[in-house]
Amino acid sequence: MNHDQTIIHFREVKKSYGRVQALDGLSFTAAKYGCLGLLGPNGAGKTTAIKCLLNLTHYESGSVDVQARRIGYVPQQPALFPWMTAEETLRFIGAERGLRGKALEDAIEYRLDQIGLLKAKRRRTGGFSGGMKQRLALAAALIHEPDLLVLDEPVSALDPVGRHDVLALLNVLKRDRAIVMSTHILDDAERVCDDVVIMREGHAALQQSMGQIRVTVNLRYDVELLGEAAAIAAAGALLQTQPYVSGCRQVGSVLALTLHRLEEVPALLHTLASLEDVQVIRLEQSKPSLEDIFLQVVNGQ
Amino acid sequence: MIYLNLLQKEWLEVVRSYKILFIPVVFILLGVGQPLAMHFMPQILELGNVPAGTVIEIPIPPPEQIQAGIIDQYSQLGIFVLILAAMGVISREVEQGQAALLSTLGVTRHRYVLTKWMMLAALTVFSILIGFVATAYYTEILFGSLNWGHVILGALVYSLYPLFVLSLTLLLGTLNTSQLSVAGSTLATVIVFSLAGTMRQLLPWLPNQASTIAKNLIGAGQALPVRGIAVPCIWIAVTLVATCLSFRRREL
Repeated sequence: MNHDQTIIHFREVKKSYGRVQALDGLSFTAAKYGCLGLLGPNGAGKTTAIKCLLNLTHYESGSVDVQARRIGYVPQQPALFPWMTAEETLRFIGAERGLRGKALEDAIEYRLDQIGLLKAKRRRTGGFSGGMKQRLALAAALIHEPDLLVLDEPVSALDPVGRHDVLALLNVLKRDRAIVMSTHILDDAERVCDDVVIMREGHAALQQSMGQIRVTVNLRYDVELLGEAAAIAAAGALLQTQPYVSGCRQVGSVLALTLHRLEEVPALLHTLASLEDVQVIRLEQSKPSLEDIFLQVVNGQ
Repeated sequence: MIYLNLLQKEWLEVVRSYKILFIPVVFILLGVGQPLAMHFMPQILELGNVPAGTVIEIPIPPPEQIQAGIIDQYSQLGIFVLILAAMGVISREVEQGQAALLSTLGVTRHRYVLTKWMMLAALTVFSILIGFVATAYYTEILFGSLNWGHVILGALVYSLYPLFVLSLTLLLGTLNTSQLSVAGSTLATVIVFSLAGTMRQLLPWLPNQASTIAKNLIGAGQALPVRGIAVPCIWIAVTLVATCLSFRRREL
């Protein structure tokens, strides 16, 4: 990635809490436009990376270069002031961000409308549901039109409709700013992220675009055979001994096989030619899901 | 100007959490209890099991000493209430993530600490002043006239000690994670200062000297010693600087 196009540059960042090494040489970059997903199992260091990014914690070595002038942040647990109304919250945060007068009032109305909280603007946030708090926190992060939006598990407390709406909004927002989003919900990452960093034990085990990732990571070929139960059982017994078959499972009169390389398909077809009463009903290249990729990377494959 | 928005937020919290109401009320009640208790002492004692025919004569102290007597009340229960009101001001906001949010808004650590201190200090001085005035009002009605200049000046001088305790509570709030440990460690430190204050050689160097100076001013009309006022101010300043430095190192 061209340095002019990057907004965040993490270089070999190390951070420990006592004996626990939270970040162990984490390096990654984020582009000025688009959404970068920070993925990883619990304890991989996602939240610590976000804290380093926002200068909320000190790190022992490495460097974090953030080129954004305005940053918006939505923490995992929305940190609002329970005695303030939704409107007062945005007014305080907007004023702290430098907005004044009509510009501030217009921004408050616009953001409250955008996140569907206009009717609740005079209610105190202490009485809000988790989803309402998360949406208000997002509005607060956007009030000053940030160049960089940092989201820690942004839709974890939302219902399916709220989740859909917020992800749709993020897809719009990423067109003219950078978004860094940590999540453990891989489906959300697939829907919004252009690039992902898969973290493992405090370092980036993989950083690629979603497009690249699907090409790089092993594709899978699913084959299904249909036949009489006895013939399928015989085929299964033969095929599961073949080195190129990585998965073999019989479900009634169907035998499901998994191959990992295209070159293995002719060998399979050659073996099938020697079998009677068995026909191929499906041969398909499967698109690996982000979950497949995530599991491969996290398991060190 | 950069403090105004943050101060407005603190003000809103003080109002909506009713601190603006209950802290002054506590100081008024603690204060006016002193002249009222002195005035009605014979009747209070008669309510007890006093043998018939017993004559109770309690020497009535001059109004200045009654007024000065509330300082002891404030230095115990009043200080305790202030610690309770301030113990979660930093540690709770760190725990709940509001401090991190403010940091990402560009609020510097020292601005955060100083704003918290300013609002609580204003509330403390207001509560002490209103408590002193209410007490002086009842003392005048029940016991005779007072020098109001001494009362007001005494309240301001005495406020230096609660302001030090407030700064100490904030400092310990940056060092402790639980509100209970903030309150416990602040109380323990205050008790150590009180014990140390009983030693004549140490007292001139302690922040609680402000109470003695205020008592002497109100009770006996003694002049204000410049060094005696400077010492608590220095303690407050040093504690505030330590709070800012400590909070800079705190993980948010």
